Amino acid sequence: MRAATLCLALILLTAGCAEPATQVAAQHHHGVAATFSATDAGWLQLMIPMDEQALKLLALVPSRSKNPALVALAAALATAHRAELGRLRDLRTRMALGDTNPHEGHTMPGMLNADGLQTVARNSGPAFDALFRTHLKAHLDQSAQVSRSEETAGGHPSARTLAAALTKSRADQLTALGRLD
Amino acid sequence: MSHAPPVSRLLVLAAVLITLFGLTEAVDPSTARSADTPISQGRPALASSVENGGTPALAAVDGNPGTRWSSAAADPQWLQVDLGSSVSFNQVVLTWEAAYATAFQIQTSANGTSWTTVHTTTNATGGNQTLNVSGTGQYVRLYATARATQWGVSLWEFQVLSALPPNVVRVAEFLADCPFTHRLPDDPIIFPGLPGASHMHSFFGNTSTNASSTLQSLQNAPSNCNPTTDVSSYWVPTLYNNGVAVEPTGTTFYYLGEGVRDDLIAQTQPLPLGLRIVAGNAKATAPDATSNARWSCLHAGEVGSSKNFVNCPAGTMLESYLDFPQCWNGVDLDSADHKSHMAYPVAAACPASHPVMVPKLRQVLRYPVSGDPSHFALASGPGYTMHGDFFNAWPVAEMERRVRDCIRPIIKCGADGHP
Repeated sequence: MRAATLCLALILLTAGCAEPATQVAAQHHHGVAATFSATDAGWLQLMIPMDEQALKLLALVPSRSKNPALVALAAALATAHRAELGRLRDLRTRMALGDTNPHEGHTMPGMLNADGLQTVARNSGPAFDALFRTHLKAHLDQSAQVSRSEETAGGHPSARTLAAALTKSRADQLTALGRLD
Repeated sequence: MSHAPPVSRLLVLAAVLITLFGLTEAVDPSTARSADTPISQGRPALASSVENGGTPALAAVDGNPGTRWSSAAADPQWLQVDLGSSVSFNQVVLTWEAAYATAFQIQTSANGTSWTTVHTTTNATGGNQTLNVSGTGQYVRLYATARATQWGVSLWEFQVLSALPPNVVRVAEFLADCPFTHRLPDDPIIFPGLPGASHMHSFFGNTSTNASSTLQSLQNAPSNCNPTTDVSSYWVPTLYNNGVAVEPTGTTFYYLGEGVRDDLIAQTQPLPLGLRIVAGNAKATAPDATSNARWSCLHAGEVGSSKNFVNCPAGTMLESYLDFPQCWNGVDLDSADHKSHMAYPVAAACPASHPVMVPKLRQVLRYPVSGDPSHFALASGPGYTMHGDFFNAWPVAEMERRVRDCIRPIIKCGADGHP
Protein backbone atom coordinates (compact mmCIF):
# COMPACT_ATOMS: atom_id res chain seq x y z
CA MET A 1 0.00 0.00 0.00
CA ARG A 2 2.80 2.39 0.93
CA ALA A 3 4.73 1.43 -2.17
CA ALA A 4 1.72 2.10 -4.37
CA THR A 5 1.14 5.49 -2.79
CA LEU A 6 4.75 6.44 -3.26
CA CYS A 7 4.61 5.28 -6.83
CA LEU A 8 1.47 7.34 -7.51
CA ALA A 9 3.08 10.39 -5.94
CA LEU A 10 5.94 9.89 -8.34
CA ILE A 11 3.52 9.66 -11.28
CA LEU A 12 2.36 13.17 -10.49
CA LEU A 13 5.74 14.77 -10.62
CA THR A 14 8.23 12.43 -12.32
CA ALA A 15 8.60 9.77 -14.93
CA GLY A 16 6.52 7.29 -12.93
CA CYS A 17 6.52 3.57 -12.32
CA ALA A 18 6.66 0.30 -14.15
CA GLU A 19 3.50 -1.77 -14.19
CA PRO A 20 3.34 -3.80 -10.96
CA ALA A 21 4.37 -7.39 -11.59
CA THR A 22 1.77 -8.57 -9.09
CA GLN A 23 -0.97 -7.95 -11.68
CA VAL A 24 0.34 -10.61 -14.04
CA ALA A 25 0.79 -13.04 -11.14
CA ALA A 26 -2.76 -12.40 -9.96
CA GLN A 27 -4.09 -13.39 -13.36
CA HIS A 28 -2.24 -16.68 -13.26
CA HIS A 29 -3.49 -17.41 -9.77
CA HIS A 30 -7.08 -16.97 -10.87
CA GLY A 31 -6.58 -18.92 -14.07
CA VAL A 32 -8.39 -16.27 -16.12
CA ALA A 33 -7.07 -15.39 -19.54
CA ALA A 34 -7.39 -11.61 -19.49
CA THR A 35 -8.33 -9.96 -22.76
CA PHE A 36 -8.57 -6.35 -23.77
CA SER A 37 -12.10 -5.08 -24.25
CA ALA A 38 -13.71 -2.43 -26.42
CA THR A 39 -13.96 -0.30 -23.30
CA ASP A 40 -10.20 -0.60 -22.72
CA ALA A 41 -9.56 0.47 -26.31
CA GLY A 42 -12.05 3.34 -26.11
CA TRP A 43 -10.53 4.62 -22.89
CA LEU A 44 -6.94 4.34 -24.12
CA GLN A 45 -7.63 5.93 -27.48
CA LEU A 46 -9.26 8.85 -25.72
CA MET A 47 -6.65 9.35 -22.97
CA ILE A 48 -3.81 9.54 -25.49
CA PRO A 49 -5.19 12.43 -27.57
CA MET A 50 -6.42 14.14 -24.39
CA ASP A 51 -2.92 14.08 -22.93
CA GLU A 52 -1.42 15.17 -26.22
CA GLN A 53 -3.73 18.19 -26.37
CA ALA A 54 -3.15 18.94 -22.68
CA LEU A 55 0.61 19.02 -23.33
CA LYS A 56 0.07 21.59 -26.07
CA LEU A 57 -1.97 23.67 -23.64
CA LEU A 58 0.66 23.33 -20.90
CA ALA A 59 3.39 24.36 -23.34
CA LEU A 60 1.74 27.77 -23.73
CA VAL A 61 2.20 28.68 -20.07
CA PRO A 62 5.88 29.73 -19.74
CA SER A 63 5.64 32.39 -22.46
CA ARG A 64 2.22 33.73 -21.53
CA SER A 65 1.73 33.56 -17.76
CA LYS A 66 3.34 35.93 -15.28
CA ASN A 67 2.26 33.83 -12.30
CA PRO A 68 5.30 31.84 -11.02
CA ALA A 69 3.13 29.36 -9.13
CA LEU A 70 1.10 28.63 -12.25
CA VAL A 71 4.25 28.27 -14.35
CA ALA A 72 5.69 25.83 -11.81
CA LEU A 73 2.51 23.78 -11.69
CA ALA A 74 2.33 23.65 -15.48
CA ALA A 75 5.92 22.39 -15.63
CA ALA A 76 5.19 19.62 -13.13
CA LEU A 77 2.00 18.67 -14.93
CA ALA A 78 3.80 18.56 -18.27
CA THR A 79 6.39 16.18 -16.85
CA ALA A 80 3.68 13.99 -15.34
CA HIS A 81 1.64 14.00 -18.54
CA ARG A 82 4.65 13.03 -20.66
CA ALA A 83 5.30 10.09 -18.38
CA GLU A 84 1.66 9.12 -18.38
CA LEU A 85 1.54 9.36 -22.15
CA GLY A 86 4.52 7.01 -22.38
CA ARG A 87 2.70 4.37 -20.31
CA LEU A 88 -0.51 4.84 -22.31
CA ARG A 89 1.38 4.40 -25.58
CA ASP A 90 3.15 1.31 -24.26
CA LEU A 91 -0.21 -0.20 -23.44
CA ARG A 92 -1.48 0.75 -26.87
CA THR A 93 1.40 -1.19 -28.38
CA ARG A 94 0.59 -4.21 -26.19
CA MET A 95 -3.02 -3.99 -27.34
CA ALA A 96 -1.87 -3.80 -30.99
CA LEU A 97 -3.97 -0.71 -31.54
CA GLY A 98 -2.90 1.60 -34.35
CA ASP A 99 -1.69 5.13 -33.81
CA THR A 100 -5.06 6.58 -34.74
CA ASN A 101 -7.24 9.12 -32.98
CA PRO A 102 -10.88 8.11 -33.33
CA HIS A 103 -11.86 11.58 -32.14
CA GLU A 104 -9.85 13.54 -34.72
CA GLY A 105 -11.80 16.64 -35.70
CA HIS A 106 -14.55 16.02 -33.15
CA THR A 107 -15.71 18.44 -30.49
CA MET A 108 -14.91 16.53 -27.32
CA PRO A 109 -15.80 17.37 -23.75
CA GLY A 110 -12.69 18.47 -21.82
CA MET A 111 -10.47 18.53 -24.89
CA LEU A 112 -9.37 21.65 -26.73
CA ASN A 113 -9.37 21.41 -30.52
CA ALA A 114 -6.88 23.28 -32.68
CA ASP A 115 -9.10 26.36 -32.93
CA GLY A 116 -9.65 26.47 -29.19
CA LEU A 117 -5.94 26.15 -28.56
CA GLN A 118 -5.25 29.09 -30.90
CA THR A 119 -7.79 31.20 -29.05
CA VAL A 120 -6.09 30.50 -25.74
CA ALA A 121 -2.69 31.21 -27.28
CA ARG A 122 -3.75 34.70 -28.36
CA ASN A 123 -4.04 35.74 -24.69
CA SER A 124 -1.44 36.53 -22.06
CA GLY A 125 -1.17 37.62 -18.43
CA PRO A 126 -4.22 37.25 -16.17
CA ALA A 127 -6.59 36.75 -19.12
CA PHE A 128 -4.49 33.82 -20.28
CA ASP A 129 -4.26 32.44 -16.74
CA ALA A 130 -8.06 32.39 -16.38
CA LEU A 131 -8.61 30.70 -19.74
CA PHE A 132 -5.82 28.24 -19.13
CA ARG A 133 -7.13 27.25 -15.69
CA THR A 134 -10.65 26.72 -17.07
CA HIS A 135 -9.45 24.45 -19.84
CA LEU A 136 -6.95 22.63 -17.65
CA LYS A 137 -9.63 21.90 -15.05
CA ALA A 138 -11.96 20.64 -17.78
CA HIS A 139 -9.21 18.32 -19.02
CA LEU A 140 -8.38 17.01 -15.55
CA ASP A 141 -12.06 16.52 -14.65
CA GLN A 142 -12.98 14.80 -17.89
CA SER A 143 -9.99 12.46 -18.02
CA ALA A 144 -10.62 11.56 -14.37
CA GLN A 145 -14.29 10.83 -15.04
CA VAL A 146 -13.60 8.58 -18.02
CA SER A 147 -10.80 6.81 -16.15
CA ARG A 148 -13.07 6.16 -13.18
CA SER A 149 -15.47 4.48 -15.62
CA GLU A 150 -12.62 2.40 -17.04
CA GLU A 151 -11.74 1.22 -13.54
CA THR A 152 -15.19 -0.34 -13.19
CA ALA A 153 -16.24 -1.07 -16.79
CA GLY A 154 -12.86 -1.92 -18.30
CA GLY A 155 -11.72 -5.42 -19.18
CA HIS A 156 -7.99 -6.07 -18.87
CA PRO A 157 -6.32 -5.61 -15.45
CA SER A 158 -3.41 -3.72 -17.02
CA ALA A 159 -5.74 -1.11 -18.45
CA ARG A 160 -7.83 -0.87 -15.29
CA THR A 161 -4.74 -0.50 -13.12
CA LEU A 162 -3.38 2.27 -15.30
CA ALA A 163 -6.81 3.93 -15.20
CA ALA A 164 -6.80 3.77 -11.41
CA ALA A 165 -3.35 5.36 -11.32
CA LEU A 166 -4.52 8.07 -13.67
CA THR A 167 -7.62 8.75 -11.56
CA LYS A 168 -5.46 9.12 -8.47
CA SER A 169 -3.04 11.45 -10.29
CA ARG A 170 -5.93 13.60 -11.42
CA ALA A 171 -7.24 13.95 -7.88
CA ASP A 172 -3.81 15.15 -6.74
CA GLN A 173 -3.45 17.42 -9.75
CA LEU A 174 -6.87 18.98 -9.20
CA THR A 175 -5.94 19.59 -5.57
CA ALA A 176 -2.73 21.28 -6.67
CA LEU A 177 -4.65 23.42 -9.14
CA GLY A 178 -7.15 24.37 -6.44
CA ARG A 179 -4.35 25.53 -4.14
CA LEU A 180 -3.61 28.34 -6.58
CA ASP A 181 -6.91 30.03 -5.68
CA MET B 1 -56.92 25.01 -30.93
CA SER B 2 -60.73 25.07 -30.47
CA HIS B 3 -60.70 28.87 -30.59
CA ALA B 4 -58.50 29.11 -33.63
CA PRO B 5 -60.09 31.06 -36.50
CA PRO B 6 -60.73 29.02 -39.66
CA VAL B 7 -57.78 30.47 -41.60
CA SER B 8 -55.34 29.46 -38.87
CA ARG B 9 -56.82 25.99 -38.80
CA LEU B 10 -56.36 25.67 -42.53
CA LEU B 11 -52.76 26.75 -42.19
CA VAL B 12 -52.19 24.22 -39.44
CA LEU B 13 -53.85 21.55 -41.57
CA ALA B 14 -51.70 22.53 -44.54
CA ALA B 15 -48.59 22.33 -42.39
CA VAL B 16 -49.60 18.89 -41.17
CA LEU B 17 -50.25 17.72 -44.73
CA ILE B 18 -46.94 19.13 -45.92
CA THR B 19 -45.20 17.34 -43.09
CA LEU B 20 -46.98 14.08 -43.83
CA PHE B 21 -46.26 14.40 -47.52
CA GLY B 22 -42.65 15.13 -46.80
CA LEU B 23 -42.36 12.03 -44.69
CA THR B 24 -43.57 9.79 -47.54
CA GLU B 25 -40.59 10.63 -49.71
CA ALA B 26 -38.37 7.79 -48.58
CA VAL B 27 -38.82 6.00 -51.87
CA ASP B 28 -38.95 7.34 -55.40
CA PRO B 29 -42.68 7.34 -56.31
CA SER B 30 -41.83 6.24 -59.86
CA THR B 31 -40.86 2.82 -58.54
CA ALA B 32 -44.22 2.33 -56.85
CA ARG B 33 -46.53 -0.15 -58.53
CA SER B 34 -50.35 -0.12 -58.66
CA ALA B 35 -52.41 -3.09 -57.46
CA ASP B 36 -55.61 -2.29 -59.39
CA THR B 37 -54.99 -4.28 -62.59
CA PRO B 38 -54.05 -7.95 -62.93
CA ILE B 39 -50.51 -8.25 -61.67
CA SER B 40 -49.77 -10.42 -64.70
CA GLN B 41 -50.75 -7.78 -67.24
CA GLY B 42 -47.89 -6.54 -69.38
CA ARG B 43 -45.39 -8.80 -67.62
CA PRO B 44 -42.93 -10.99 -69.50
CA ALA B 45 -44.48 -14.31 -70.58
CA LEU B 46 -43.11 -17.52 -72.04
CA ALA B 47 -44.84 -20.57 -73.52
CA SER B 48 -43.89 -24.14 -74.35
CA SER B 49 -44.79 -23.49 -77.99
CA VAL B 50 -46.83 -21.29 -80.32
CA GLU B 51 -49.14 -22.29 -83.14
CA ASN B 52 -47.79 -19.50 -85.36
CA GLY B 53 -46.28 -16.01 -85.24
CA GLY B 54 -49.69 -14.44 -84.69
CA THR B 55 -50.32 -16.28 -81.41
CA PRO B 56 -47.43 -15.39 -79.09
CA ALA B 57 -47.37 -15.99 -75.35
CA LEU B 58 -47.46 -12.26 -74.67
CA ALA B 59 -50.91 -12.01 -76.30
CA ALA B 60 -52.38 -13.79 -73.25
CA VAL B 61 -51.13 -11.13 -70.81
CA ASP B 62 -51.56 -7.97 -72.91
CA GLY B 63 -54.98 -7.00 -71.52
CA ASN B 64 -56.41 -7.16 -75.06
CA PRO B 65 -59.31 -9.67 -75.32
CA GLY B 66 -58.96 -9.76 -79.12
CA THR B 67 -55.49 -11.31 -79.19
CA ARG B 68 -54.58 -14.79 -78.00
CA TRP B 69 -51.85 -17.29 -77.33
CA SER B 70 -52.18 -20.64 -79.07
CA SER B 71 -49.89 -23.63 -78.67
CA ALA B 72 -48.78 -26.39 -80.98
CA ALA B 73 -51.11 -29.41 -81.15
CA ALA B 74 -49.46 -31.68 -78.58
CA ASP B 75 -49.54 -32.43 -74.85
CA PRO B 76 -48.36 -31.08 -72.47
CA GLN B 77 -48.24 -27.30 -73.03
CA TRP B 78 -47.51 -24.45 -70.67
CA LEU B 79 -47.67 -20.67 -70.40
CA GLN B 80 -45.84 -18.82 -67.64
CA VAL B 81 -45.76 -15.19 -66.57
CA ASP B 82 -42.99 -13.46 -64.61
CA LEU B 83 -44.57 -11.16 -62.00
CA GLY B 84 -41.26 -9.40 -61.34
CA SER B 85 -41.17 -10.18 -57.63
CA SER B 86 -42.66 -12.66 -55.22
CA VAL B 87 -46.35 -11.81 -54.98
CA SER B 88 -49.31 -13.25 -53.15
CA PHE B 89 -52.33 -13.84 -55.39
CA ASN B 90 -55.78 -15.26 -54.69
CA GLN B 91 -57.38 -15.52 -58.11
CA VAL B 92 -56.46 -16.71 -61.59
CA VAL B 93 -58.80 -15.91 -64.50
CA LEU B 94 -58.59 -17.94 -67.71
CA THR B 95 -60.38 -16.75 -70.85
CA TRP B 96 -60.25 -19.76 -73.19
CA GLU B 97 -60.59 -19.76 -76.93
CA ALA B 98 -62.59 -22.71 -78.33
CA ALA B 99 -59.41 -24.78 -78.10
CA TYR B 100 -59.31 -25.22 -74.32
CA ALA B 101 -57.70 -27.70 -71.97
CA THR B 102 -59.71 -30.28 -70.07
CA ALA B 103 -56.90 -31.04 -67.64
CA PHE B 104 -54.43 -28.52 -66.32
CA GLN B 105 -52.62 -27.28 -63.26
CA ILE B 106 -51.85 -23.82 -61.92
CA GLN B 107 -48.31 -23.71 -60.55
CA THR B 108 -46.06 -21.16 -58.85
CA SER B 109 -42.32 -20.80 -58.66
CA ALA B 110 -39.77 -18.56 -57.02
CA ASN B 111 -37.18 -19.09 -59.75
CA GLY B 112 -39.00 -20.21 -62.91
CA THR B 113 -37.53 -23.70 -62.76
CA SER B 114 -38.94 -25.59 -59.78
CA TRP B 115 -42.71 -25.49 -59.54
CA THR B 116 -45.36 -25.96 -56.87
CA THR B 117 -48.86 -26.96 -57.95
CA VAL B 118 -51.57 -24.91 -56.25
CA HIS B 119 -54.59 -26.03 -58.34
CA THR B 120 -55.45 -29.13 -60.41
CA THR B 121 -58.39 -29.69 -62.79
CA THR B 122 -59.10 -32.81 -64.88
CA ASN B 123 -62.58 -32.10 -66.20
CA ALA B 124 -62.58 -28.45 -67.24
CA THR B 125 -65.09 -27.19 -69.79
CA GLY B 126 -63.40 -24.04 -71.12
CA GLY B 127 -65.04 -20.62 -71.47
CA ASN B 128 -64.30 -18.07 -68.79
CA GLN B 129 -62.86 -19.73 -65.72
CA THR B 130 -62.35 -17.82 -62.49
CA LEU B 131 -60.25 -19.91 -60.14
CA ASN B 132 -60.05 -18.88 -56.51
CA VAL B 133 -56.52 -20.07 -56.10
CA SER B 134 -54.11 -18.73 -53.52
CA GLY B 135 -50.38 -18.81 -53.94
CA THR B 136 -47.18 -16.86 -53.66
CA GLY B 137 -44.38 -16.68 -56.16
CA GLN B 138 -42.63 -14.61 -58.75
CA TYR B 139 -43.72 -16.94 -61.57
CA VAL B 140 -47.21 -18.35 -62.22
CA ARG B 141 -47.77 -21.06 -64.81
CA LEU B 142 -50.64 -22.79 -66.55
CA TYR B 143 -49.60 -26.40 -67.18
CA ALA B 144 -52.05 -28.09 -69.57
CA THR B 145 -51.95 -31.89 -69.82
CA ALA B 146 -55.02 -32.72 -71.93
CA ARG B 147 -56.58 -30.83 -74.85
CA ALA B 148 -60.31 -30.65 -75.54
CA THR B 149 -59.84 -30.50 -79.32
CA GLN B 150 -57.48 -31.68 -82.02
CA TRP B 151 -55.85 -28.24 -81.91
CA GLY B 152 -53.42 -26.94 -79.34
CA VAL B 153 -54.59 -24.96 -76.30
CA SER B 154 -55.41 -21.28 -76.66
CA LEU B 155 -56.06 -18.43 -74.20
CA TRP B 156 -57.40 -14.95 -74.98
CA GLU B 157 -56.25 -13.81 -71.54
CA PHE B 158 -54.36 -15.29 -68.58
CA GLN B 159 -54.84 -13.07 -65.55
CA VAL B 160 -53.30 -13.34 -62.08
CA LEU B 161 -55.01 -11.15 -59.48
CA SER B 162 -53.27 -9.86 -56.38
CA ALA B 163 -54.41 -10.89 -52.94
CA LEU B 164 -53.68 -7.37 -51.76
CA PRO B 165 -56.42 -4.86 -51.17
CA PRO B 166 -56.60 -2.25 -53.93
CA ASN B 167 -54.51 0.90 -53.57
CA VAL B 168 -51.77 -0.85 -51.64
CA VAL B 169 -48.52 0.84 -52.58
CA ARG B 170 -45.97 -1.65 -53.85
CA VAL B 171 -43.01 -0.39 -51.85
CA ALA B 172 -41.31 -2.60 -49.26
CA GLU B 173 -41.39 -0.33 -46.23
CA PHE B 174 -42.33 0.12 -42.62
CA LEU B 175 -41.15 2.86 -40.31
CA ALA B 176 -40.74 4.25 -36.82
CA ASP B 177 -41.03 7.94 -36.01
CA CYS B 178 -38.75 8.55 -33.06
CA PRO B 179 -38.37 12.14 -31.79
CA PHE B 180 -35.30 13.52 -30.04
CA THR B 181 -34.97 12.34 -26.46
CA HIS B 182 -31.71 13.64 -24.97
CA ARG B 183 -28.08 14.61 -25.54
CA LEU B 184 -25.05 12.94 -23.99
CA PRO B 185 -21.34 12.65 -24.90
CA ASP B 186 -21.88 8.88 -24.75
CA ASP B 187 -21.78 5.98 -27.19
CA PRO B 188 -22.75 2.53 -25.89
CA ILE B 189 -21.51 0.84 -29.08
CA ILE B 190 -18.13 2.51 -29.64
CA PHE B 191 -17.30 3.49 -26.02
CA PRO B 192 -19.29 1.09 -23.85
CA GLY B 193 -19.18 1.88 -20.15
CA LEU B 194 -17.35 5.17 -20.66
CA PRO B 195 -19.68 8.13 -20.11
CA GLY B 196 -18.19 11.30 -21.57
CA ALA B 197 -15.84 9.44 -23.91
CA SER B 198 -17.56 10.54 -27.09
CA HIS B 199 -18.40 13.70 -28.96
CA MET B 200 -21.93 14.94 -28.23
CA HIS B 201 -24.71 12.68 -29.47
CA SER B 202 -28.40 13.35 -29.95
CA PHE B 203 -30.48 10.30 -29.06
CA PHE B 204 -33.85 9.18 -30.45
CA GLY B 205 -36.33 6.48 -29.48
CA ASN B 206 -35.36 4.71 -26.29
CA THR B 207 -35.32 7.32 -23.52
CA SER B 208 -32.69 5.58 -21.37
CA THR B 209 -29.72 5.32 -23.72
CA ASN B 210 -26.35 6.14 -22.19
CA ALA B 211 -22.80 4.79 -22.20
CA SER B 212 -23.81 1.74 -20.16
CA SER B 213 -26.84 0.71 -22.23
CA THR B 214 -27.21 -2.97 -23.04
CA LEU B 215 -29.91 -4.85 -24.90
CA GLN B 216 -31.47 -5.72 -21.55
CA SER B 217 -31.45 -2.14 -20.28
CA LEU B 218 -33.05 -0.92 -23.52
CA GLN B 219 -35.73 -3.62 -23.36
CA ASN B 220 -36.64 -2.46 -19.85
CA ALA B 221 -36.95 1.23 -20.73
CA PRO B 222 -39.64 3.22 -22.54
CA SER B 223 -39.43 4.67 -26.03
CA ASN B 224 -40.91 7.81 -27.53
CA CYS B 225 -41.19 6.17 -30.94
CA ASN B 226 -44.37 5.72 -32.89
CA PRO B 227 -44.79 2.78 -32.49
CA THR B 228 -43.85 2.71 -28.80
CA THR B 229 -43.18 -1.00 -29.21
CA ASP B 230 -39.89 -0.02 -30.88
CA VAL B 231 -37.57 0.45 -27.92
CA SER B 232 -34.50 0.53 -30.17
CA SER B 233 -32.00 3.32 -29.75
CA TYR B 234 -30.87 5.61 -32.57
CA TRP B 235 -28.24 8.34 -32.29
CA VAL B 236 -26.29 10.85 -34.39
CA PRO B 237 -23.69 13.56 -33.73
CA THR B 238 -25.35 16.73 -32.48
CA LEU B 239 -25.76 19.53 -35.04
CA TYR B 240 -24.69 23.02 -33.95
CA ASN B 241 -25.80 26.30 -35.54
CA ASN B 242 -23.40 29.06 -34.49
CA GLY B 243 -22.42 26.85 -31.58
CA VAL B 244 -26.00 26.28 -30.40
CA ALA B 245 -27.32 22.72 -30.47
CA VAL B 246 -30.20 22.18 -32.92
CA GLU B 247 -32.32 19.05 -32.78
CA PRO B 248 -34.22 17.64 -35.76
CA THR B 249 -38.00 17.99 -35.72
CA GLY B 250 -38.51 15.37 -38.43
CA THR B 251 -37.08 12.06 -37.24
CA THR B 252 -38.17 9.09 -39.33
CA PHE B 253 -36.42 5.74 -39.39
CA TYR B 254 -37.53 3.80 -42.47
CA TYR B 255 -37.02 0.08 -42.85
CA LEU B 256 -36.88 -0.73 -46.54
CA GLY B 257 -36.60 -3.64 -48.92
CA GLU B 258 -34.58 -2.08 -51.70
CA GLY B 259 -31.09 -2.07 -53.09
CA VAL B 260 -31.34 -5.76 -54.01
CA ARG B 261 -33.33 -7.68 -56.63
CA ASP B 262 -37.03 -8.21 -55.96
CA ASP B 263 -36.59 -11.98 -55.64
CA LEU B 264 -34.05 -11.31 -52.89
CA ILE B 265 -36.37 -8.87 -51.12
CA ALA B 266 -38.71 -11.84 -50.74
CA GLN B 267 -35.95 -13.55 -48.71
CA THR B 268 -35.41 -10.66 -46.28
CA GLN B 269 -34.81 -11.80 -42.71
CA PRO B 270 -35.77 -9.83 -39.59
CA LEU B 271 -33.07 -7.65 -38.04
CA PRO B 272 -31.75 -9.84 -35.23
CA LEU B 273 -32.45 -8.69 -31.69
CA GLY B 274 -29.46 -6.86 -30.24
CA LEU B 275 -27.86 -6.10 -33.62
CA ARG B 276 -25.73 -2.96 -33.61
CA ILE B 277 -25.09 -1.08 -36.84
CA VAL B 278 -23.03 2.02 -37.50
CA ALA B 279 -23.39 3.90 -40.80
CA GLY B 280 -21.56 6.89 -42.21
CA ASN B 281 -18.02 7.91 -41.31
CA ALA B 282 -17.38 10.04 -38.21
CA LYS B 283 -13.71 10.27 -39.22
CA ALA B 284 -14.22 11.36 -42.84
CA THR B 285 -11.73 14.06 -43.77
CA ALA B 286 -13.33 15.02 -47.09
CA PRO B 287 -16.69 14.65 -48.85
CA ASP B 288 -15.37 11.56 -50.62
CA ALA B 289 -16.32 7.91 -51.07
CA THR B 290 -15.59 7.15 -47.41
CA SER B 291 -18.70 9.13 -46.47
CA ASN B 292 -22.22 8.09 -47.50
CA ALA B 293 -24.56 10.50 -45.69
CA ARG B 294 -26.40 13.00 -47.88
CA TRP B 295 -27.63 16.51 -47.08
CA SER B 296 -30.48 18.19 -48.94
CA CYS B 297 -33.37 20.60 -48.37
CA LEU B 298 -36.94 19.64 -47.55
CA HIS B 299 -39.27 21.29 -50.12
CA ALA B 300 -36.34 22.66 -52.11
CA GLY B 301 -35.31 19.69 -54.24
CA GLU B 302 -33.64 22.03 -56.75
CA VAL B 303 -30.78 22.51 -54.27
CA GLY B 304 -29.79 18.91 -54.86
CA SER B 305 -27.99 16.64 -52.44
CA SER B 306 -24.42 16.75 -51.19
CA LYS B 307 -22.15 14.90 -48.81
CA ASN B 308 -21.60 18.22 -47.05
CA PHE B 309 -24.09 20.77 -45.69
CA VAL B 310 -26.14 22.58 -48.34
CA ASN B 311 -27.54 26.12 -48.39
CA CYS B 312 -31.31 25.74 -47.99
CA PRO B 313 -33.64 28.61 -48.97
CA ALA B 314 -35.36 30.46 -46.14
CA GLY B 315 -38.49 28.63 -45.02
CA THR B 316 -37.16 25.18 -45.94
CA MET B 317 -35.38 22.68 -43.70
CA LEU B 318 -31.96 21.12 -43.83
CA GLU B 319 -32.35 17.36 -44.09
CA SER B 320 -29.99 14.42 -43.73
CA TYR B 321 -30.41 11.00 -45.34
CA LEU B 322 -28.33 8.04 -44.23
CA ASP B 323 -28.67 4.45 -45.44
CA PHE B 324 -27.41 1.70 -43.15
CA PRO B 325 -25.83 -1.49 -44.54
CA GLN B 326 -28.39 -4.25 -45.02
CA CYS B 327 -26.31 -7.40 -45.53
CA TRP B 328 -25.50 -9.27 -42.33
CA ASN B 329 -22.84 -11.96 -41.86
CA GLY B 330 -25.47 -14.06 -40.11
CA VAL B 331 -23.36 -14.57 -36.99
CA ASP B 332 -22.22 -11.46 -35.14
CA LEU B 333 -24.40 -8.80 -33.51
CA ASP B 334 -21.40 -6.44 -33.51
CA SER B 335 -17.73 -6.56 -34.51
CA ALA B 336 -14.46 -5.09 -33.26
CA ASP B 337 -14.61 -2.23 -35.74
CA HIS B 338 -18.43 -2.15 -35.42
CA LYS B 339 -18.68 -2.36 -39.22
CA SER B 340 -17.34 -5.62 -40.56
CA HIS B 341 -20.32 -7.75 -39.49
CA MET B 342 -22.42 -5.73 -41.96
CA ALA B 343 -21.99 -4.86 -45.64
CA TYR B 344 -23.71 -3.00 -48.43
CA PRO B 345 -25.11 -4.95 -51.40
CA VAL B 346 -22.97 -5.55 -54.45
CA ALA B 347 -24.66 -5.78 -57.86
CA ALA B 348 -28.13 -5.77 -56.26
CA ALA B 349 -27.38 -8.78 -54.06
CA CYS B 350 -25.83 -9.43 -50.67
CA PRO B 351 -22.22 -10.65 -51.01
CA ALA B 352 -21.29 -14.22 -50.04
CA SER B 353 -19.42 -12.91 -46.99
CA HIS B 354 -22.62 -11.24 -45.70
CA PRO B 355 -25.36 -13.41 -47.16
CA VAL B 356 -28.30 -12.46 -44.94
CA MET B 357 -30.49 -9.67 -46.33
CA VAL B 358 -32.14 -7.65 -43.56
CA PRO B 359 -34.29 -4.51 -43.89
CA LYS B 360 -32.31 -1.43 -44.88
CA LEU B 361 -32.53 1.25 -42.23
CA ARG B 362 -32.84 4.71 -43.77
CA GLN B 363 -32.49 7.54 -41.28
CA VAL B 364 -34.18 10.78 -42.39
CA LEU B 365 -33.68 13.77 -40.12
CA ARG B 366 -35.09 17.25 -40.75
CA TYR B 367 -33.48 20.16 -38.92
CA PRO B 368 -35.24 23.51 -38.45
CA VAL B 369 -32.34 25.47 -39.92
CA SER B 370 -31.61 26.93 -43.35
CA GLY B 371 -29.22 29.34 -44.98
CA ASP B 372 -25.45 29.71 -44.96
CA PRO B 373 -23.99 26.32 -44.07
CA SER B 374 -20.77 27.89 -42.75
CA HIS B 375 -22.71 28.37 -39.49
CA PHE B 376 -23.30 24.63 -39.13
CA ALA B 377 -21.07 22.03 -37.53
CA LEU B 378 -21.56 18.52 -36.26
CA ALA B 379 -20.04 17.41 -32.96
CA SER B 380 -17.96 15.13 -35.20
CA GLY B 381 -16.91 17.92 -37.57
CA PRO B 382 -18.08 18.96 -41.07
CA GLY B 383 -21.29 17.72 -42.71
CA TYR B 384 -19.56 14.74 -44.33
CA THR B 385 -18.78 13.29 -40.89
CA MET B 386 -22.51 12.63 -40.42
CA HIS B 387 -23.08 9.13 -39.10
CA GLY B 388 -25.72 7.12 -37.34
CA ASP B 389 -25.80 4.38 -34.74
CA PHE B 390 -28.58 1.83 -34.31
CA PHE B 391 -29.06 -0.62 -31.46
CA ASN B 392 -31.91 -2.98 -32.37
CA ALA B 393 -34.31 -3.68 -29.52
CA TRP B 394 -37.52 -4.24 -31.52
CA PRO B 395 -39.49 -7.08 -29.97
CA VAL B 396 -38.76 -10.14 -32.10
CA ALA B 397 -42.40 -10.80 -32.99
CA GLU B 398 -43.03 -7.18 -34.01
CA MET B 399 -39.98 -7.13 -36.27
CA GLU B 400 -40.89 -10.52 -37.79
CA ARG B 401 -44.45 -9.46 -38.53
CA ARG B 402 -43.34 -6.32 -40.34
CA VAL B 403 -40.76 -8.17 -42.43
CA ARG B 404 -43.36 -10.82 -43.32
CA ASP B 405 -46.24 -8.41 -44.06
CA CYS B 406 -44.44 -5.36 -45.47
CA ILE B 407 -40.94 -6.11 -46.73
CA ARG B 408 -41.14 -9.56 -48.34
CA PRO B 409 -44.45 -8.97 -50.18
CA ILE B 410 -43.33 -5.39 -51.09
CA ILE B 411 -46.09 -3.47 -49.32
CA LYS B 412 -45.85 0.06 -47.94
CA CYS B 413 -46.76 -0.07 -44.26
CA GLY B 414 -46.99 2.66 -41.68
CA ALA B 415 -45.67 2.87 -38.15
CA ASP B 416 -48.20 0.21 -37.07
CA GLY B 417 -46.76 -2.27 -39.55
CA HIS B 418 -49.96 -2.38 -41.63
CA PRO B 419 -50.66 -0.95 -45.11
